[in-house]
Amino acid sequence: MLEVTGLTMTFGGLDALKNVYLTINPREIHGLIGPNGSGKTTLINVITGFYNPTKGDIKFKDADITGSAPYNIAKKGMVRTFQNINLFAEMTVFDNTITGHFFRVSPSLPSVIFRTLPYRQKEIRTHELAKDVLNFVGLYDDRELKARNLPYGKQRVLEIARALMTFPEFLVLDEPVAGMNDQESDKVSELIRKLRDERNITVLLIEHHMRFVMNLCEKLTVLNAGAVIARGLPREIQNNQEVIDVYLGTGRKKNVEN
Amino acid sequence: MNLIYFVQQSFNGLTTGIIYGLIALGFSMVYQSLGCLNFSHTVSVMIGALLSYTFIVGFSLHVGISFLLIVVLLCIYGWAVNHFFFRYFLNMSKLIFMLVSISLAGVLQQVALIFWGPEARAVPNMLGSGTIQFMGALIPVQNLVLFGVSLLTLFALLLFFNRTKFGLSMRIASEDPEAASLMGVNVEKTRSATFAITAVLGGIAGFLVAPLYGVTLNLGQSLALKMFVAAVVGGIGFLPGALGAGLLVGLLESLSSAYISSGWRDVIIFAAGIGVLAVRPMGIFRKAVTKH
Amino acid sequence: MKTKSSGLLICIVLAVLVIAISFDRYITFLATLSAINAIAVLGIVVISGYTGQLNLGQSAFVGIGAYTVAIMGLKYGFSFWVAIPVAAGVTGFFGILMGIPALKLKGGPYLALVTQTFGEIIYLAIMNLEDFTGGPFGMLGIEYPKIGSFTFSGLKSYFYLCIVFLVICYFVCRRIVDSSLGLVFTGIRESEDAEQSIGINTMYYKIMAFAIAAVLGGIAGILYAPFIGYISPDQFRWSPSLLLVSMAIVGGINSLRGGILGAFVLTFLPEMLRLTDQYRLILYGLLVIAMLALLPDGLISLYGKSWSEVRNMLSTRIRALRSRKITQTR
Repeated sequence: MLEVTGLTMTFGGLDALKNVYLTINPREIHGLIGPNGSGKTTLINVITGFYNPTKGDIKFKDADITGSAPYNIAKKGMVRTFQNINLFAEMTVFDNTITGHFFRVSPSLPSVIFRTLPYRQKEIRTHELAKDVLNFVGLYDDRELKARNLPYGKQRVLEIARALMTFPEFLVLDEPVAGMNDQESDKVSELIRKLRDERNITVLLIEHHMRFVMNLCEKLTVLNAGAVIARGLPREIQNNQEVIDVYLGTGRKKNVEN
Repeated sequence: MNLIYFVQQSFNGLTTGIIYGLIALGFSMVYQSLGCLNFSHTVSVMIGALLSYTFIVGFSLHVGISFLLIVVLLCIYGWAVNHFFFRYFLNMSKLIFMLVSISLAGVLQQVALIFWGPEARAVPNMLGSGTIQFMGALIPVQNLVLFGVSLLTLFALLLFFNRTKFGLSMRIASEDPEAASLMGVNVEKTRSATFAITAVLGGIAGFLVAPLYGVTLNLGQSLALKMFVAAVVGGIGFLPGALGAGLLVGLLESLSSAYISSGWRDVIIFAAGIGVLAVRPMGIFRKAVTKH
Repeated sequence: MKTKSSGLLICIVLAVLVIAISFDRYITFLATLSAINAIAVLGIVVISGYTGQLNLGQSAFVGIGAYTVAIMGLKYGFSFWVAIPVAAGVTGFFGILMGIPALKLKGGPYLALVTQTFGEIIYLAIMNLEDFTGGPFGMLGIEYPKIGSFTFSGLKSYFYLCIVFLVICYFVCRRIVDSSLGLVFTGIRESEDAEQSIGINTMYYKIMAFAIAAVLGGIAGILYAPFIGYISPDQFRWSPSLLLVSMAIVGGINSLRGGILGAFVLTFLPEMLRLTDQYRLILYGLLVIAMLALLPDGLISLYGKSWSEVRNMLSTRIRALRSRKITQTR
C-alpha cells in the first residue's frame, strides 16, 4: 500500500532523514518508533506531503505521490493526524467532524447559495455520517462543545474522528495516545483495531507509549537519527540489542511492560 | 549625456533611498525585538518634519540645535507612546497590535493636524548649498550632507548596540526576554528604549526629508507603504536588509520616474515588491528556509 | 446561528429604520450610506473574520465597482442593471488577483502588505488611466438607476433600494457562512495544515473568499456611485479601507450582523456627535482602540448577554491588559 524508497530529507545541511526505506502492506497496523528527534514526525511530514523530500520516492497504492500537495494525498486516501493537536479550536466537536467529509461533497458556490436540493441532501447525509462517527468514537454527547474546551485525550480522539470522515484507506497517526493513561490508550487501541477489522483501514502510527505499541502493532520500524535501524515483528524488536542500546544507552534488556 | 543622467538619477535615488532605509530600519527593529508591526512608525517621521519646520522657520533656531531638540523630543515621544499605550497591547495578538497602531497613527495625525494646521510648508535647505561634480553629474551638497548624517546615525546605532552595556542588554532582551529578565535586565526598559530609538530614527529621517519634500501632514502616509515594502522585501526583522531594500526602493523610484513614467512609478515599485516576495518570501537579503 | 432568529431581528431593525427615516432627510441619507458601507463590510467579515485573511484594501474594490458603473453608464450608455453583473465580474476578477500573492505570503505582515499595496496600485491605475477614468478629476453626473419609468432619484427610494441589496447580500453571506463551506473558511483561519490533511484545497477556497469579499465591495461601489454622483480616486484609497475594517472591528469582525452593526454605528455616531472631519477620525481611532482592548469580538458580542456576563467579560479583559507580564511576544 505504501512504499517509501531511498528517502532523504536535508534541512540546511542537516540530514533529518537518511535513505529511509519503508513498506507497509494493506490492512497492516504498523508502528514507527524511535527516540525523540529521530525523525519520525519528519518522515510522516514527507510521506503526507507537508515536506518535499530532498531525495527518494514515495508510492501510495502503486502511484507516485512524491512532491504532491498534502490535500491531494489526502484525497487519494492517506489522511494524517498531528503531534500537536491540530483541531479547529473555535468550532464545535460536531463541526470539526463535518469538515472531514467536505472534500467528498465539495459543493459549488452556487449550490451553497441557492441551497439546491442535491446540496441539502448531501449536507443531511454528512450530518448523519458525523453522528455515526461520533458515536463510534464515543464523542457524541460532547458534540456541541467547542473543540478547545475538550479534555486533551478527547481532543486526540476527535482528530481521529475527523480523519475518519474522509473515508480514508490509510491513516497516519502521530502520537495518538500521547498524554493518555492506560485506560484511555486501551480504548484507542481497540478503536484502531476496529478500524482495521471493520473498515479495512491500514494504519501507520508514531508512538512512545511502549505498551500501546507492542500490544497493537503488527510490524515495527525503528528510527534513530534519521536512519532505519531495525524493522520487524514487535517481539524481534524487543530483543534487538541495537534498539535497546539506542533507547537506554546501556547493555540492559528492555523492560517493555511500562 | 545618458550616463551622466543615469548617475544623476541614481544619486537622487540613493538619497531618498537612505531615508527610506532609515525609516524601514526603525520599523524592522520593532518587529525584530517585539514581533510587532508598528504602523504608527511613520508618525515619528511626520513629527520630525513638523518640528524641523517649527524650530528652523518658526523659532529661527540654528539647524544643529533643532536637530538635537528633535532627537530629544522624539526620544521622549517614543518612550511615552510605549509607556502610556503600547505596552498594554504587547501581549495581545499581533493582529490586534497592528490594528491598534494603525488607529493610533490616525489619531496622532489628526491631533497634529489640529495643532499645525493643514497647509503644506516649506523648510529651507540648511544642509549646505551648491553642487559637486562627480562623474560628470551634478550632486547637490545637500544630498551629500544628508547621506553623511544618515551614515553617522547608523554608525552611532551600531556602536550603541555593539559596544554599550545597555545596547547589549537590549539585544539580549529581544532574543529572549524571559532569560534576559532572569539575568537582571529590565526588559520593560529595553522595550521603551526600542520605541524611543526607533522614534528618533524616524524623527531624523523626517528632519532630513523636510527640505526635500516639504512638510505635509500626509508625509507619513505616503512614505508608509514604501517603507513597509522596503522593510518586508529586505527581510522583515532583518535590519541591514531594511536598509539595503530602502536604498533599492529609492533607486527604483528615481530611475522609474526618469526612464519610464512618473505616474506609474509607484505601481512599478509595489508590483516589483510583491513580485520579489512571491519568489522569495523571506526577503532578498535573507537565506532561504527549507520547508514545504 | 440559525437563520430564523436572525430574520426576526432583522425585521425589527428594518422596521425601526423605516420609521426613523420618515422623520428626517438627513437620517435617510446616513442610513443609506450605512447600508452601502455595510455591504462592503460584509466582505471584510467574510475574508478577514471567517477566513482570517487581513484585508486592508477593500475600498479598492468599492472603487472598481463604482468606476465600472460610472464608465459603463457615462461612456457607453449602459443601464445600471446591466452594469451590476459586469461590475461583479470585474471586481471578482481583481479579488482573485489580490488573493494569489496571499497564497504564498501568509501571515500578518505579508497580508497587510499585499492588500495595502494592491489597493494602492488600483488607486494609481485609476489616477493614471485618465482617458478611461477621468484621472484625478474623477467622474461626474452618474445617473440613478431606473426601472421602467421610475427613477430612484429620491432619497427614500434610493434608501429602499440599498436596503434591498443589503438584505440580499446578507442572506447570501449567511447561507455561505452557515454551510459546510463556511466551516472550510473558518478552518483556513484556524489551521490550514489541518484542512489540507483532510483533503481540502485551501488555496482554492482562500481565493474564493477573496473573490466573495471583492464582489461585495464592488456591489457597495455600484450603489455608491449614483448615490454620491461624483467619484474620484481619492475616495477609494487607504483611508476608507481602514474605515471599513474599523467598522468590522467595532461591530464584530467575526459576525455578519456585527459587521452591519459596525457600519451603522460608525456612520451615524460621528454625525450624531456633530463632529467635524478631523475629530471624526480621532473618534474612529479611539473607538477601534477601545474595542480592540476591551471587546475584541465587537459590539455584537454583547448581544444576548446579561449585565453580569458583560461585567465579567470586561473585567477579565482589563485584568489581562493590566498584567503586562514579560513574556515572549514573538
